[in-house]
Amino acid sequence: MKMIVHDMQEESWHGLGVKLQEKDIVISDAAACTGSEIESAMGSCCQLILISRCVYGGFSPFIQGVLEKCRRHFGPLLEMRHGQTHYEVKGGNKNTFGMVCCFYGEHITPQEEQSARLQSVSDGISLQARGVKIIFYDTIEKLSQLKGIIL
Amino acid sequence: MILFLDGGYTLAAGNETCAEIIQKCLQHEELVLVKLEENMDWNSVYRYLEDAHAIVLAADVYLDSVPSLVLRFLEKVEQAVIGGESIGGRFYAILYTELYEGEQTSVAMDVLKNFCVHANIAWGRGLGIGGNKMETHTHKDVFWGRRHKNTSDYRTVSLQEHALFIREKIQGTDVYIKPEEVSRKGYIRKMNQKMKKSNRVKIALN
Repeated sequence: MKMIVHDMQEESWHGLGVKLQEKDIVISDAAACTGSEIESAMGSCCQLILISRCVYGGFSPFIQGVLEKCRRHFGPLLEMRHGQTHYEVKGGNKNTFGMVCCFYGEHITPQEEQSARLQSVSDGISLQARGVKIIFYDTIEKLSQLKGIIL
Repeated sequence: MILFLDGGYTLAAGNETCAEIIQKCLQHEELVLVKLEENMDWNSVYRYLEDAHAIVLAADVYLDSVPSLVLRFLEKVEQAVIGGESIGGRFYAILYTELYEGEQTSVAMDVLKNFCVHANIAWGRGLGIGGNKMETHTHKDVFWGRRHKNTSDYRTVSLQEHALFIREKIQGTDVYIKPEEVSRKGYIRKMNQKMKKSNRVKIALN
């Protein structure tokens, strides 16, 4: 099962023609989810795809808002990972799910690209993803190339 | 005038708030506090932004980013600048994380710097505070047998130093701090014990 979180207009999203399976979950402005729905999906998906406008070298407010709803996906306890403190992750898919962070937008500067990469990797570590793929597109139309990456 | 933007930062109970520490160091300069919310009086916010000699943003960091509410605010400010508003004050940031290492706020700090480039605002200095779950220690005064608050909170000195940069409106190197008096392992142990204890209380109350 894959979980896709995007901040695109519905028209642009449908234009991508991403093939979805029955169990797949898509979260967008038009299809909002509660915190507990997001948490349970996040804890059982095999691929987490974040499609975000690149805002100052990070996720857009909508995507960040969805990530904020995942607080309970993390346990209350701290643990040490990669030499740093992190919240323990509750999900059963720890170290097994793949994460794809796709940023789009015109005029993404090298500094912004660098911080977006750092944020993606860091979030991958926090969520205990198996791996993180980071992609940048300068136009929304080019997002159709994602079809080859999404499972 | 210094504009203090409260982006939802939290300090452990018992501490002086960040704004109070800055206010003390400012001497006679006015500090205007604005809490970032969904519905704000944008006309007065724009006026403050225009008049401020320095802008201070204090916010919590979660998953390497400032809250979505703060991101929305920054985008709106950038739009206002594009629309003709001019912001002459320097931008200072104070970012908090409950995780031990203050460096874990550095990605969010970069996001704020990128915002400054977009909005044509001069970057001042960033302070990233780790271990923000640490409470001020109280210890028993042996001689008087009373409990006193330990004033040597690891955050206070760094906040005071940051306030001097703000007061003088000068640029400085970003600083990241952690509670040096406790080791990383000690911090994790302490926080986890505290959490387990509060969970036991919650279960007992239910």
